Amino acid sequence: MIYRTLKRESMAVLVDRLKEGGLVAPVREDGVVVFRPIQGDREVASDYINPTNSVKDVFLPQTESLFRFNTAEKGLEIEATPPEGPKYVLGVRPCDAAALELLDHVFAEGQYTDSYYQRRRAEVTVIGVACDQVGESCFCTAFGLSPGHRRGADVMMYRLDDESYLVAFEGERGHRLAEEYPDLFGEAPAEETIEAVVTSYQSREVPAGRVELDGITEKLDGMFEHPLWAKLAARCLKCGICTYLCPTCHCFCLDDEALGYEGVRYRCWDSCMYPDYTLMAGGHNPRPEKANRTRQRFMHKLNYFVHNHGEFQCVGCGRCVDKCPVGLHMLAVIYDIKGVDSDGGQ
Amino acid sequence: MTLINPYKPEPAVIQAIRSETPDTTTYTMKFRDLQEFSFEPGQFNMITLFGYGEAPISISSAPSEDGTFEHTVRHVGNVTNAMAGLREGDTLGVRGAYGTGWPMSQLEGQDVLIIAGGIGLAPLRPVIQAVIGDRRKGNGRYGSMEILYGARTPADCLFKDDYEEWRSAEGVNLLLTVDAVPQGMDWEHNVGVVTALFDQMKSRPADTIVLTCGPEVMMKFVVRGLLERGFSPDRLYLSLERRMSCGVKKCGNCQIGSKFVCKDGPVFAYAELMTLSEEVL
Repeated sequence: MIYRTLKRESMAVLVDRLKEGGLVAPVREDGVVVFRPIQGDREVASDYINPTNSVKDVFLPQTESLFRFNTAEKGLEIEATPPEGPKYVLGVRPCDAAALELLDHVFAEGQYTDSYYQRRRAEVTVIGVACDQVGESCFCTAFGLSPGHRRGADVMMYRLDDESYLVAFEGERGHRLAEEYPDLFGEAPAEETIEAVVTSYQSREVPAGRVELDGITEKLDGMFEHPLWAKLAARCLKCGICTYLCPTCHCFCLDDEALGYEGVRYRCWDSCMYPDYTLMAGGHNPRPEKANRTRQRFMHKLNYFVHNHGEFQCVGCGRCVDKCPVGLHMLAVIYDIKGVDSDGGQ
Repeated sequence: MTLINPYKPEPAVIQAIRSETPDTTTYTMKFRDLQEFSFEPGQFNMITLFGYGEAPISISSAPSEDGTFEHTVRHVGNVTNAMAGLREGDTLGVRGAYGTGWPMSQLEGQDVLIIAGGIGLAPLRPVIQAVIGDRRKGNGRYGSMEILYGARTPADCLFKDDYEEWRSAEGVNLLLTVDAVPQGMDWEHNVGVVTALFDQMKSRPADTIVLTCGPEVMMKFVVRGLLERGFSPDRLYLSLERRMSCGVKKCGNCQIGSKFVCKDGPVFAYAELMTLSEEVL
């Protein structure tokens, strides 16, 4: 871990340089802030709580080509298409950065790993900016995170004063950035200053994050057949926005697009909210009801994932809280689960 | 950094095509370039028909020395319907073998009871071939084997060409049943559901490992009937079917509670399924 400072006016220079290697950062577009590739003189947004889309989009794009094929008569040819993407992603909030380590459990661990995801994880430097504003929907502290956490980030910036940032560089990718642009970064401030700034961010109050999660996984062990799921599902529209915007949801499908002999196998996000997601060719669907699918989403994040990986599959970013059209989001459902008797009486 | 692309299939050439029933076909395949390929009975491959997509299909033959392997496909979906148009010499894409297969090492020294319905006989055929092959070599690794197989009609029975060989193998008992026999068709075996064959079987709970695959409703009654007859849940194994996109525990399609059918299954001990909060059967 090394610390440096960065002058506010040097930030624009840094953006210009990162842009050359390929940079994704938040921009204001049609009234919302979204992560987008930065080209030309496109301005990086600074005044936002969290971009509408998550940093997942960089590491697991909504759609991407995996290989090309040619079935012409001289013989089948299959050629893998390399992962595309930036070298840097800037403006990542601590919740999104931490979400990457949850995605790592799925894509970078176990017998089979995902070379597309891993390549990006190895090559993309994640530059975080600690949160000056805490949103009403933010609840990161419920999951052991905070507005100043560094989990999953290679670099984290904290506002030091009106003129400069304190910058923390971690690991190989973080250190490389500090070494690459020595002219941009100033000397580290005194240790007490570093300590005070980081602590002030990490101890920042997140009102919605006070929700207590102790025992919820164990309670859910006995709630598979609970009437709560049908009650919740009744208002769900199955639009899937919660899964698309979620920085930890990773489900996808594979399909072909072909014209004549040539085609491409692509990957595309899918959602457990959709009935087709589990429908089999023979007509059998193990999750035919809306209630089955609502249950899957919350059980996966608060129970199954915990059993498999030892932690919740949620970072409290608040996107589902903000965007669910019917208020069926993680924070509300946590309170619903806590509020019912696990045996079905309500 | 050396990374293995888990999604890229290998070309495989169709060596032979055998029609099993009006809607089911067995394809014998061999990899065009890939030299090393090993699998266990009960595992599956992801089969690509380029331009149509990919589907998980059980391997329906035992491992062979000539590098060929078989897939028995019912033509019911997008990919499998398109496969009906394939001819010998055609090339498709195959990646695998994936999943946890039948507990072959646990079968050693035990009697084997196989209960299959419809296309469910396909992932069990490698076990039948392995047990009979072992006996032919005189290894005597397994006890007796009883096969209970049910199909809709006599014409829907899979692997009819194999029955004579299975019956004539030492210590093998094959019992067949169908739901219905169309008028004018010869059928000298049982009519009724597969559990109706339980009264004719000789397998005893204490000496037998049970392997079953078929529609979930069939397996539900098979499991219930066997438990009533004193078979213990840790000696019952079943192969489940779920939608799959990746086959390597990433896409999420095949999740049942904290288990993934593509990797933790498709074969599960019934005792393991009992530990899940979700009642699978």
